[in-house]
Amino acid sequence: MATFRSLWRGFGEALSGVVSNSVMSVASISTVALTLLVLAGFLLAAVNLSHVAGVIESQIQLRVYLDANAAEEDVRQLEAQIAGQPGVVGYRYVSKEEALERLRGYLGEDQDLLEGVEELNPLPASFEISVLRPDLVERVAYELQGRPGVDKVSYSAEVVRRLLEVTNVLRLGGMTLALLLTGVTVFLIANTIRITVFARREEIAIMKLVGATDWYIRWPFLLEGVLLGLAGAAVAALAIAFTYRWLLDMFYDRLPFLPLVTPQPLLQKLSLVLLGLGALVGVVGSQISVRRLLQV
Amino acid sequence: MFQLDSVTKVYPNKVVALSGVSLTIRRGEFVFLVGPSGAGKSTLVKLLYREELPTRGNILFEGRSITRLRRSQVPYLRRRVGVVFQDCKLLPHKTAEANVAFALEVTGAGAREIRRRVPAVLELVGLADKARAYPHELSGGEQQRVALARAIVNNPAVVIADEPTGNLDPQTAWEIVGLLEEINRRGRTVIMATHAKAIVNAMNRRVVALSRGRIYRDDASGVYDDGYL
Repeated sequence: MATFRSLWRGFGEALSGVVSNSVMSVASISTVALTLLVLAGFLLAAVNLSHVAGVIESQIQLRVYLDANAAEEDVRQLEAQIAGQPGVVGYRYVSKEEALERLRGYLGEDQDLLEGVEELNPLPASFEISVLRPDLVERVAYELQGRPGVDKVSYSAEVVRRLLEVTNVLRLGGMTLALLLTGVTVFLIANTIRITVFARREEIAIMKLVGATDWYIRWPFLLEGVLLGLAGAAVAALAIAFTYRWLLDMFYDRLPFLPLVTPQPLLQKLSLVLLGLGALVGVVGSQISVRRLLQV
Repeated sequence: MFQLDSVTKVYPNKVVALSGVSLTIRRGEFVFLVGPSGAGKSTLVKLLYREELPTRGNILFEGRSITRLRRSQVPYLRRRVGVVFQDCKLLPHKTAEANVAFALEVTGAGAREIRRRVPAVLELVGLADKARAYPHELSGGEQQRVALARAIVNNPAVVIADEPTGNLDPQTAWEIVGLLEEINRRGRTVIMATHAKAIVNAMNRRVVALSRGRIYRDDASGVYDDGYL
């Protein structure tokens, strides 16, 4: 079997198919690109949010606020208890003064808000506690709650949970939207290729008469679909790479402390995923339009 | 070669094209299928190269059932059966030799084989000098010769011609039939569905006459008989 020549024939015919109905081809490529862009956008947002959530999780996980009138004895006992909790990897005492100092740091130029408050210093002293694993946070918090000298225990799990919730919503929303758009894309590719199929219907009928196998007939159309899908994916990958780098630069300027995911290797992996999806969409679209043709 | 066993074909629109047709065609035969329009000639021809499947009954080709043939096997049947139509079905943007080569290409034949066999069959049908001509540059008879060349280039066991002379003047029609006779003389079975009374009568070959989807007559050396009309 001269398989290689058949493969080459496929490339030529696929390319001429793309070129000869250029309007539909451009439309298909654009929808593939748009679909994959939406998908990639949501994916990047979700990846970054869960990254941020992870970083927050790994930072101070637990804070025990001390009662303003806590006796020194109580504080010393509490410290011992914190040190003795299983899973606690580190802790630090933050005095009232230090807390105020930090607040000053956060406020930056808005120092005047503190006027009159400074002498009173209503900020409580606290212990910052790091725990080995995020899932231990709640147990440790429960243990320390209500001990003498303890006013309140707060932990970042709440923030983390919220963030993860948002991430999940983003993921779900992104997937749903991408799925819908994928439907549109497959439909458009199928239609584009149907035009080529229609233009070649005589040729195909004769091919079948003289004994061409289904795969021989199908191959050029399959390639045409894959070409359309890959072209769209390439456009999407380039666009998302530029946009993401631009957004990162912007965030670094405005919110330098936000722990965002670096472009490499994230974008590289994402591009591969996009190209794979593009090719897949092309295959499905072309097979839909060719399947009916090959019946009988 | 072909064995039809009480074959019935009913189209989805309820038209009964063939009912209970049994027929045996042996290797090397030259058979005319005759009958008025709508008698079922075209349907019978389509069943033979499996363009259509019978509603009931069985068809054997070279001892194997083509009604139970798997879809993936159909292309290999088609390579054993060369088909020619009234309207030639040539590709307009391909030259005569490219049209013939096309039938070889789809079977995966190599370039050397194509270069060897295409000129040979064009020579056989008397078109060696018009190999580079496009269909619109050829006369009706010449186009039909190209179609014949394409039908035999894969070296099929049988050539089926559905009204191959329908669009041709009598002189040209005779030339085409002469070619079919030559093809038959070289050992291939030929089945020709036709209206051409003069040709059928002069050839003195087997005639299978169809009327209203049934075999009306089957004579080993017959004539075109209008009696059943």
